[in-house]
Amino acid sequence: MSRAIGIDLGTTNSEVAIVENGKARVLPGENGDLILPSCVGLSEAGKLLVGRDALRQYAAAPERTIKSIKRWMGTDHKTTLGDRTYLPHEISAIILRSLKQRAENALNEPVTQAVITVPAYFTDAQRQATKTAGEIAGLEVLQIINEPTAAALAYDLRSEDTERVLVYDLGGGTFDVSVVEITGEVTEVLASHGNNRLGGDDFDRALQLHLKRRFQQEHKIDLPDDPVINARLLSAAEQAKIELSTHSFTTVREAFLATKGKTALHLDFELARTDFESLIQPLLDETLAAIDRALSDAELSAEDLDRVILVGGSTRIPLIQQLIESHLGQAPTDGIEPDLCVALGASLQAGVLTGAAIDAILVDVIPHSLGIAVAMDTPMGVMPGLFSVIVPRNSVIPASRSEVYSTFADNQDTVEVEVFQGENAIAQENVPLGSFHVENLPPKPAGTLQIEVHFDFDLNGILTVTATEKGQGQKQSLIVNDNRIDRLSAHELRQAQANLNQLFELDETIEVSAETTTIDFSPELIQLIEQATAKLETLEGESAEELQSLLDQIAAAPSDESIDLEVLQSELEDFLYYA
Amino acid sequence: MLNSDRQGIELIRRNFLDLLKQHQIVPISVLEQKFDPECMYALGQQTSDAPPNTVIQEVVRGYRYRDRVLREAQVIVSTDKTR
Repeated sequence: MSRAIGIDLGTTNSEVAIVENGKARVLPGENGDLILPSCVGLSEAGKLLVGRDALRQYAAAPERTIKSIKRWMGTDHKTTLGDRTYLPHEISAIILRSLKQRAENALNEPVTQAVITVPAYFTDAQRQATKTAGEIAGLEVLQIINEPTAAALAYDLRSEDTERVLVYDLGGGTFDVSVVEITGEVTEVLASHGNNRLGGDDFDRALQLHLKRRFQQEHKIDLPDDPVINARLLSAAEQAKIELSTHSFTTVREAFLATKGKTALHLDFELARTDFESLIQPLLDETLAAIDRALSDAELSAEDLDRVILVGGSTRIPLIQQLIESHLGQAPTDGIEPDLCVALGASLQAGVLTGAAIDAILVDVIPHSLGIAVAMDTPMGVMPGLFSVIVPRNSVIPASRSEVYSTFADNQDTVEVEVFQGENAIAQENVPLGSFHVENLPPKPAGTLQIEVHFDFDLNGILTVTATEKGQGQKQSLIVNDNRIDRLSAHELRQAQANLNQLFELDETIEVSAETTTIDFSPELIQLIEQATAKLETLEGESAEELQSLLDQIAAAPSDESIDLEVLQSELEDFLYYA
Repeated sequence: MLNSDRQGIELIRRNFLDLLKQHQIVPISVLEQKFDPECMYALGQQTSDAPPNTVIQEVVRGYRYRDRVLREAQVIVSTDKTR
């Protein structure tokens, strides 16, 4: 039986992990990186780039590069890449396909099954889009699970007693806090809050501004708003931030940042951890407020929490650990790399599902209430458009419930079933999931014709709504993934997979042709030759002859194995240096 | 005087680069090259006379160790004036 992988498909970064001999590990890419930036692009030559390569070209070719596609999941937001447009789940499919490939290379065997994580607040449409993305990537998606649930699994919280766990997830660009309850084999998400525009990148930018101010104080001139200076300061800020996670002080040293008259100006000072902390404190206060909101939503107080788990690279910042500890009155559990935790948990679940070590079954809950729009009798009279909840939020999945409704008018021959998800009493204020009609109802007085509305929510978060007229048994149903991203038909899926294969194949062919056109000269040597050719025109007599002879020998090198190119290169270097 | 100081520093730099080269660490040459996402990190675009997608400024030098990118170069890339 082939092994199944666990995938953390993140907004900024993604990882893939597997269980081997009972232990989970994150699988590295070719260059040893465990993290794959969630970035997709096309090179100028039309080669598909995924991960770091795509991220590198983002600033040079934003029109050919896509990042943070997760923010668009479940919508029909179209992105153009090369000569065609892509839906968000198609871009995610490219990332997933790349992770699948990474796993196959690392394991040296085909990989076809996966568990993929999504944020606890993801709607059904977003979950379905994620599942579809996995299928297009050639993966059988065994289960979609919540990120905080995966994190808790990584810490193997499977005691028989009920444990209430708060998961604080602060990544590069997004922040989530979730309160989950784990009882034996059941994990429930009680509440989830966050800010999908807050993360480590904000800390870098705050520190970058601080460096600019320091420069201004020291040299009494403003740093010009120059992209090079900004870039240098941003990388200096990021380095300093990382350094300050383990040290109380760090030196920021950037030479030749600017000039005043003829004097070169440098930045060279010692930055204290406390300086950095006061810069990010306002941002962190926001995350503490989110903790309080999540706790009050879960109707818990800090003392009710049995454990606090930190997820995401930014939680390496000591101040975050301290703030959470003093805010909640207990120290966070650590020990697992915070940015790999979710992928590891997903792989454990994948292992469990494929029989690697069946000692737990994960049960998730529905994150939002599901229901329909109805007219209701209220003290102010009959009000239309109210939200009648059929499956309350936090019901354990799979959930299957029905309610019975009756007609509103005499001889009403049609009812419209409008499905929503959310917590607002006014239906329209919630997220619409779709609607359908039951028609040709028998003529009856108002309130006497009964319609049963049945909601069925399966393990993959797919909702099926069925309305049945009780008398004659007329039935209509609706499968809610999303209106825009329906589950693909077998044919559509094959087509999407073929398109993706083509992209990856195109990639391979281009790589091959690139290889055949490269000559044996290093870029360094090529540059030297260019310099030399230019130099040749300014030289006369013996030196010109000497240089020409060197160039001739280098030119002959590829076809003559007796010539040592390295020797020639260093001779050429010396020549140019002393000439 | 200033001139000779400069030459001294350049000599040290050259020795250092030679030492790196002995260990098979070589700078990635980027200026006036086509942008290559496998070894260059783009910091931004600027209009210039150079053909589009060409490196016009090297902000941080990159290095290769054997055929691996040890550190990616950080560069600014030209963009079409007409855009």
